[in-house]
Amino acid sequence: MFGLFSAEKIREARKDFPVLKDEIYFDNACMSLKPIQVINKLNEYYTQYTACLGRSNHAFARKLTEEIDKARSEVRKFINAKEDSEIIFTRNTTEGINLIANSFGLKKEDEVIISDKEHNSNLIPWLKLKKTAGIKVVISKTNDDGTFNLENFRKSFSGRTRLVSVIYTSNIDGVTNPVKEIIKISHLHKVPVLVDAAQAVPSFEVDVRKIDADFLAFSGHKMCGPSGIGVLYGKKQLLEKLDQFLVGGETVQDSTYDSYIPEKIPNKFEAGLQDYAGIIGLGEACRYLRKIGMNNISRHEIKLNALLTNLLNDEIDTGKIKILGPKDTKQRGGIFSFIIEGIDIHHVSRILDSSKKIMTRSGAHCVHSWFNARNLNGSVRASLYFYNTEDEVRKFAEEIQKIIKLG
Amino acid sequence: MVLCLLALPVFAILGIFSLKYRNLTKDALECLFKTVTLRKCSSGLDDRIKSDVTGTFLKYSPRTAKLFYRHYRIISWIIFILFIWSVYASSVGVYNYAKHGNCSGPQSSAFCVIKTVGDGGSSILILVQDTYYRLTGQEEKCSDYSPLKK
Repeated sequence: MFGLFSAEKIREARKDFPVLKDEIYFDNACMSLKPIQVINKLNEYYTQYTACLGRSNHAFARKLTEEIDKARSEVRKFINAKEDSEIIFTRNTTEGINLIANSFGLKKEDEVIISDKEHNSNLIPWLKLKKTAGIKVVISKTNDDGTFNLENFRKSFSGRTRLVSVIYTSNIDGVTNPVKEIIKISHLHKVPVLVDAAQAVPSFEVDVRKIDADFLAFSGHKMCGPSGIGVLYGKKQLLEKLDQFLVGGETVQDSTYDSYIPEKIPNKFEAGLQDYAGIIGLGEACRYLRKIGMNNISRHEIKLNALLTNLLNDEIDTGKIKILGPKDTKQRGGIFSFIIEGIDIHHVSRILDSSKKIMTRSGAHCVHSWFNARNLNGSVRASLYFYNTEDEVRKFAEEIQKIIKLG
Repeated sequence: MVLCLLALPVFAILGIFSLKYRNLTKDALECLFKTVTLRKCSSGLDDRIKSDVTGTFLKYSPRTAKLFYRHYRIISWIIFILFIWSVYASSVGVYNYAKHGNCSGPQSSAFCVIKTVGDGGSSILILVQDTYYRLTGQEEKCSDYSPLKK
């Protein structure tokens, strides 16, 4: 559908998003907008084959089973997993990480390595286990510019290290960690790796086999999919060994008053009636993004971020704006996270919204630990996606220049 | 802080009709409570008002936006004082009207926005842009009743 991402192609793509009118939506790291194809697919479930999966023996149920299988297969292709059964549908990334945290069988004194830039989704589950099971959470410090420090990471291992859980792309500054190297190092220590890919999967091609990830979690709502649906990928042999997390309906083959036989993967992890519309919608979102082209998306985000950084270069050089993350825009993907000297971050975000309908996010972006350690109360984050235009970026830069003068 | 106090009665009235304003009323109340107990407002309502108004000004006049943003506290105090003065003046007017039938005081021939007509002052008229309106909703021509012909 789209070749190289020209302005015309972007205009064409924007037509798929009914919500895009005169607003400038730069909050894509939090929630992406939904194309009409995904919305129609959601409607399709409710208007054409509303049913339960695999429980009923009728046409609606058969059609639903077919659609869910197709969606699982789409997701598998999207991240290049080996088998459909390695794709477990969850509510979101947080649930995927919680599933691993609660099923991995971590015991007292076991160590889990995380980085110092983890989203609360990949910090709190481990801190909870620290409290309840007595595990040790080892924090691997990143460099001052936000890039990953492989040397610190190497030093974090001990004989008690049982798991590494790291973010792929940071939602604070857009820095993508060298996950392939991280996994390689971890595997040398015979430690499996869980990757929080919530920000990575929507923006560039993620290939779980290429990076050799053991587990990888992501959400649908950041990648043009519906909210309330996510994915946990796991290598088949590891998933089979994992204990169940949520149990109940759909997770057992049989039960008596005393015991039960767990289902096989992926069903053993998908407890209760699932968000079928969401799953089907997510499959459609994967199809849609593949048509756009993940390389196109990645290149476009970097191009826009570079333009924005150039437009505000004087302000950055004079220290009026402080950018979080490395100077090199290529390393920041589609995220432009900044602080304006002398103006409250929440004011900036709100002023942008009321003056030019520019939607950004201000605050700690669910990474309170990182901001608290640096005595910062957060940043303003403009996160760009493939449907954003150069024109929008120019308007944003102009508005920022005006806001700087307010201080 | 100051604008929260101003916003409270406005939001409270609008809150009768809308959940959105009920929540804003709660924020304004919280702010009022914190203010009288000499603490900083934590609802952020004041900041939201400041940013929204600044953003609106920024659309039309960056200079006005800058003036408002920089002198927000002083401007809010001025608005607050004007509000208190306005409440006081209106109260006096209503009191005078109730007591003397004229909002400007006894035997005063000064302009009064509220006017009574009919036997024993049975109808109340309110002046809006050269036209008096009966409180029943019926319109009355200015020239019929008012000495203030333009």
